[in-house]
This record gives sequence, structure tokens and C-alpha cells, in this order.
Amino acid sequence: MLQIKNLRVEYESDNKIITAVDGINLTIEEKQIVGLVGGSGCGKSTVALSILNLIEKPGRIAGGQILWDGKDLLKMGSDEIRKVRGSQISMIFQDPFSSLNPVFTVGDQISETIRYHEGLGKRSALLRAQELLSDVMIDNPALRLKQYPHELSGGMLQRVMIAMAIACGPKLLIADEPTTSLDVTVQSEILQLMIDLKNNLGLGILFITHNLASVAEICDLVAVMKDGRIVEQSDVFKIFEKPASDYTKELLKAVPKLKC
Amino acid sequence: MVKNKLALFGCVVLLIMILSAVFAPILARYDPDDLVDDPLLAPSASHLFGTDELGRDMFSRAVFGARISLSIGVVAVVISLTIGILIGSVAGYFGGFVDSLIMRFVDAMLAFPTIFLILSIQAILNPNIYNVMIVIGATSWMGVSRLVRGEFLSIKQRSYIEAARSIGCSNSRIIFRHILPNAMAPVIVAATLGIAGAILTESALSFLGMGVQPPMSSWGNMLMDASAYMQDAWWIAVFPGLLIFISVLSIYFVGEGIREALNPKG
Amino acid sequence: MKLYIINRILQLIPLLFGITLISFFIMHLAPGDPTQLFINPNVSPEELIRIRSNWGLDQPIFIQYFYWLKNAICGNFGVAYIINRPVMDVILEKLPATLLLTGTVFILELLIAIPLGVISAVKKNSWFDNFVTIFTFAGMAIPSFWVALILILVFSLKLGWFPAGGMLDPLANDTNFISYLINISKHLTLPVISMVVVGLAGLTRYQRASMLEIIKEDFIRTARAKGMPESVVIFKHALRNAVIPIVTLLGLSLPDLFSGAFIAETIFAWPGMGRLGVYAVFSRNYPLIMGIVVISSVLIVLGNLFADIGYSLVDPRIRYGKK
Repeated sequence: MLQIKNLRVEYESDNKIITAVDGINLTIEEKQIVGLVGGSGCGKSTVALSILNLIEKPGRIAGGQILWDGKDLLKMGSDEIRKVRGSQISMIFQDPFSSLNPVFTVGDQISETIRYHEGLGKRSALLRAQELLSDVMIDNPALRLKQYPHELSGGMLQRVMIAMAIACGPKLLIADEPTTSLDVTVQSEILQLMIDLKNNLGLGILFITHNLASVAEICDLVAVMKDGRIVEQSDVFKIFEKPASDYTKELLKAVPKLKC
Repeated sequence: MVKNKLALFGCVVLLIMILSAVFAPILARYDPDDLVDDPLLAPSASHLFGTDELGRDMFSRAVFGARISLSIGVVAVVISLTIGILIGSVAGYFGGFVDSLIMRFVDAMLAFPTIFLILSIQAILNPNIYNVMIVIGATSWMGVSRLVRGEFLSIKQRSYIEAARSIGCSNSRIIFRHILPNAMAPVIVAATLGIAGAILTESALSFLGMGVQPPMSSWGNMLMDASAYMQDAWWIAVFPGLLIFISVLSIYFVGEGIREALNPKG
Repeated sequence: MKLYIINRILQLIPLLFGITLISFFIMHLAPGDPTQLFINPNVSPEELIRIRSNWGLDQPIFIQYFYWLKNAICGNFGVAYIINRPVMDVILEKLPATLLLTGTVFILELLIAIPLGVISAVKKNSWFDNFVTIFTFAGMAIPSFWVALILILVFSLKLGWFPAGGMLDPLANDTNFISYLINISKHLTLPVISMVVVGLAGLTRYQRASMLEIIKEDFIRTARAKGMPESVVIFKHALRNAVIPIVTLLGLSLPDLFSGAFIAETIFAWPGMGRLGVYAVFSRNYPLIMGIVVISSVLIVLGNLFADIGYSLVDPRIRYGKK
């Protein structure tokens, strides 16, 4: 479904060129949850942003292909890629507080996507938004529609972001550290929500995180990144039971284990 | 970068202005108060800026006017800095009720239309160059005090202040030796902007007649009667204003340069 | 939000106290018998006694302040010298002209600064942006009274397009409202331009900076990730956020706005409170001076209050506070 081939992303800093992503190859099949793990600065978020061509100066995509159903996303013009964003491939970010516009209501922001991509009128879009809010397990969706982001908690906001992301029925969801800034209890709820979405909507997910524990919970495949390269890639069980690379072993050691 | 070139340009122009002011007696070909020629002569080789309505050489008046305008700017800012730093540090350091009270006072001062406030005060004291400096200084310290207060509020939380207090430093010592030096960076930028503002204020006051009194020439009062004569003698209205504009502009450029220099990158 | 507004109104009261206290203090630096501050000095002895008791002039200065405050709250600032009319009446007569001038300047500044600032932020470092930056620096450096003089020189004396002063052409025959409007507009143009050129500079710079900050925010990235066209991202998502701080800045620009009006009215002989004030200063008409000082600062304080209320309406984080 999504094939990243030899992706290279550079950025310029102080007249030097730094390679953030150096030849990444990654494939995501339908209804698959692929985890992309690594420490801070390894380039995983950069990979995520590249898929929808959201890299901004001073960064730039220096080479490679990202094939979506056969077409190269990196070669698309701005009009074409905008049709993909939010409707075929969606993205959610780490901090839901800052990722939502503080001056528009929740309902407004969700229905905006629906109205733009599917041409629905204001009323019907809002109704759909309300359905979506209950799909993501938000209580009292009719009230929430009219509220502003600052009136909701972190967990609720992340659900709103997810609702906004699945509004137009995308086949792939890119989730960049979606649970990192949430409370631990809320984290597992969101992870469960993502599994439900995969099962009920047939959604594929690229799940980016530095937390191996959450990877274990929901991912089918895992790719480990370090310094812009993938050092190991296989299914989730294999990664945990028989890690091949030294770096993966390091990461595993850092995960606290509960002894029963 | 462009900003640096502008700052350089500003420095150069400013230097020219300051040197002209300092060396005014040498640069000026004539005595600024003397009636040396026919009135309202156009700019020429002997009168670079022409002559004014009484027949005085405008270039000489301008060059001596630079002395007046620039020095008023500097002295006024020194006064406003002194008041502002004092008030701001007391408010920021002690916080609480003292801070609220002082800030109310600052807000009240900020609510007056400054020019008119100064005019009113000048109406009571008879205007001369000295009270112009003092009154401008006494009505423009509010911004600095807010700045200093803000710096104090954030700096005093830091651990080295705790340390100083724990070894028994007195309050005034803490204020002056420990906090104040670290709060200075934005104040320096504010000071440069303050000089520019003071020059503009003085020129407006003198233009209206409540600032520097003739025959002493400041760029502002050179424009005082310009409207009556400028139709036939454009140089009377153009040159003094141009000088004010150029000096203030250069001060802004230099100020921007200082601000860039003092802020760490990023 | 209601709490916010009530809070703001309560903060007004000590502020107004402060203003009146400072004004009173300044007034008492004036030389002469305090009675003279309130009336025409050539008055009968009975009047004198009445005035002394009305203004508490035989009491210690502390009490005098409260007498004065009591009178001020009722709008009684005494009687102006020479003109021999109550100060308040004279001021109220001239105030509308000043409000017309400052109001026009205010609205124009808003209408121009916001688009200018937004577009220069969006097209950062383009020729447009550089031009606007030069313009704003120039605007901040130029003395408004000099702009006024040059405008008069060029557009009035040399070209004859606009009148050099006054509010209405005394000879014009204004038979209908339209020609009356045109008449006033012609007289309004040059003073407004001289004030706008200077005031625009700061506002534009601020708007540009605000917009630049907003464009870097996460929610802008989200809007793009949703597939929104760039025009929607900028003019809906970014703009709506970037204009909020301007409301506060507008309130803060009021003292300078009024100062500018005082100067412009004097140069253009615009019959407003500013020109009245400058006349009062030169004729040492202390009751009038004091009245104008207090009234203009009260107007500024009220203006700031409206700005704060506006801010609370425009920012949903304040309007619908945390629940």
C-alpha cells in the first residue's frame, strides 16, 4: 500500500548539510500497524512528515520515492498532494493542545476536513463530526462539538484529532508520538482505540514512538531507527524475543519489566 | 545580513551627527544668531541650507542645533533610565503589595497623553532647555520601569539569588550587585530607543514653542515659523525636519543592531 | 468572561484615582492663589467665599483634593479664564471634532496595518516585505509635525489640492449633507495622513511579528496535513489568531494617538480639544488645562477598557474560560 524507497532528507544548518534520514526503506501493507521506533533525533518524525510532503525549510527531501498505490507522492504537485492529505492519508501529532487551532470550535475543525474533501454542507458535516466523536468514544459529542480546544483534556483532544483524521475514511493513519504527552492511563485507552480502528475501519497505521512498551501492545511490524537509518526491521514478536541488532537490544534493556 | 549593513549605516550617520555637534564652532561658517545676509536666501555655496526669515545662516543654526537636540536626547534618557531602573527594581524585587502599588502608579502615568502632559507642566514652569530635559525624562521612564520589573521578577527566582541571600547579603546589595547587571541587556536597547524618542519629543515641544526657546536653536524650533515662509522658501521647512528624521532613523538602526548583538542566536 | 470584565472595571478605579491625584499635584505647582484656579479672578467677595467653600480652599491640601475630586466627578472643573464659561462645557463643545479626527485615524490605521503586516509576514523577505520594513522604520523616525508641514507645503500651497487648515470652508454653501461631507473630508485628509503615517508604522511591525509567530505554530501544520489549501491555512487559520494581540496594542496606542491629535489640530487649525488644549497652555488657562488633562486621560483609560473587552470577545480562551 505504502512503499518508502530509499528516502533521504537533509537540512541546512550553519552552512552545513545534515542528513536527517539516510536511505530508508519501509513498506506498510493494508490493515497493518507498523511501528517506527528510535531515540530522539533519529529521524522518525522526519520520515513521517515526508510522506505527506510536510517538510519545511531548512529541511528538504533530497531523494527517494514514496509510492502510494503505485504513485510517487514526492513527485505530486501541490493540488494533487492536498487531495491525498486528510482524505487518503491522515496524520496526527504529539501534542494535541498545540496541534488544534485555539480559536475555532472542535466541531468546526473536524467538519472543515469533511466539507473540503467531500463537499458536504455545514449542517451535514457537523452531524458527521458528531458521529465521529462518538466513534472515538467521546462522551456527550453534541456538547463537545461546540467547545473550544482549551476546554477539553489531553486525552479528549487526542481523540478529537483522531476523529478529524479518520473523518474522510483514509486508508493510512500516520501517528507521530500520539501518546507521548498523555497520562499513562489515557495512553492505553488511545492505543486500544487505534487497534479498534484498525479492526473496524481497516485502517493501516504508521505508529511512531520512542516507547517500546506501546509498540508491543499494538504493532504488527516494527522498524528500529538510529541516526537516520533503519537498523532492524521485522515482526513484533521477533523484535522482542530475538532482537538482531545491538541497538535494539539496548532499547529493550531500557524498557522496565514487570515481574509478576 | 541586511540588518548589519543598516546598523553600520546608522553608526556612520550618527557619528557624523555627533561629530558635527561637537565641532560645531568649526563647521559653522557663521555665528548662528547673527543676521549675516538677506533673509530667505536659497541654498547656495555660501549658505548650504539657505538663510532663515531673519537672515541667519541655516546650516550654522542646524549644526549648533544638533548640539542642543542630541544633548537633550541623551540627558533626558539618563534621567528616565535612572527613575525607571529605580522604580522597576523596587517593584520587581519586593513584589506583592509594593509591586501592585507601584504598577498602578505606572499605569496612571501611562494613561496621560504625554505631549500634553509635558506641555501643561511647561506652562507652569517657564520653558528653558534645562526643564525640557528634566520633564521629558520625568515622563518617559515608565517603559523602562516595566522592563526592569519584568527582568527582576524572573531573575529573582533563580538559584544564585537564593544563594546570595542565604549567605546574608542585604537587599540593596542583592539588587545592585547581583540582579541588576543581568537585567541590563533589554535596558540598553530601550535606552537607544529612548534617545530617539526624546529627540522627537523635544523637537515637537520646541516646534510648538514650549521647548528650547529662541534665539537658541534646536531643530524643532527652527521649524516653528516655517509654515509662514515655506511657500516661498522650502528650505526652511525641509532641512531641520530632515535632520531630525535622519538622526532618529540612524539611532533606530543602531538600536536594532545592538538588539541583534545582545540576543543569543536562535 | 464576565469575571474578566468585572475585574478590569474594578482595576479602573484605582487607576482613575491615580490620574486625578497626579493631575491635582501638577496643578498645584502653578503659582498664584488657588482660587484663581477655579474662577475668573475678577469676581465679587461673596462669590469668592462661596468658591472657597465649594472647593475647600481653606482646608489642608489633602482635603482640597477630595473637594476637587467631588467636583470633577460631577463634571465640574471650574470656569475657564477669559472665556468665562465652565470648563466642561467648553471641552464638550470641542470634543466631537477631536473624536472625528482620532476615530478616522484609528480606523484607517487598523484597515491598513493588518493586511500590510499579514502580507509582509507571509511573503517574508520579498521586495514587498523589505519595502514595508523600510516604510515602518521611516514612519517611526519621522516627526509627525514635519510630515504635516511638508504635506501642507506640497499638497496645499504648491498643488492646491487640499485646504491648509480648518474643518469647514467658511465660504462654502453646504446645501446638502453630501457636500457637507465632502467639505469635511477635504479638510480631514491632510491631518489624517500626517497622523496615520506615523501611527501605522508600529502597528504594522507588530502585526507582522505576530503573524510570523503564528505561522510557526503546530496547528498550522495540522491544517496543512488535513489537506487545506494554503490560502485557507493563512487567511483562516493563521490570521484569526494573529489579529488577537492587535486589539491590546490598539488600546496601548491611544496615548500616542491623542498626543498626535494635539499636534495635528494645532498645525491644521482643526477646532478640537487638542487645539483648545494648546491654546490653554499658551494662555496659562489653568482650569482649562487641568480639565483637558483629566478628560483626555479618562478617555484613554476607557479606550483601554474597550480594547480589553474586545480582546475578551475575540479570544475564545478568555471568552469561554476553563471549565
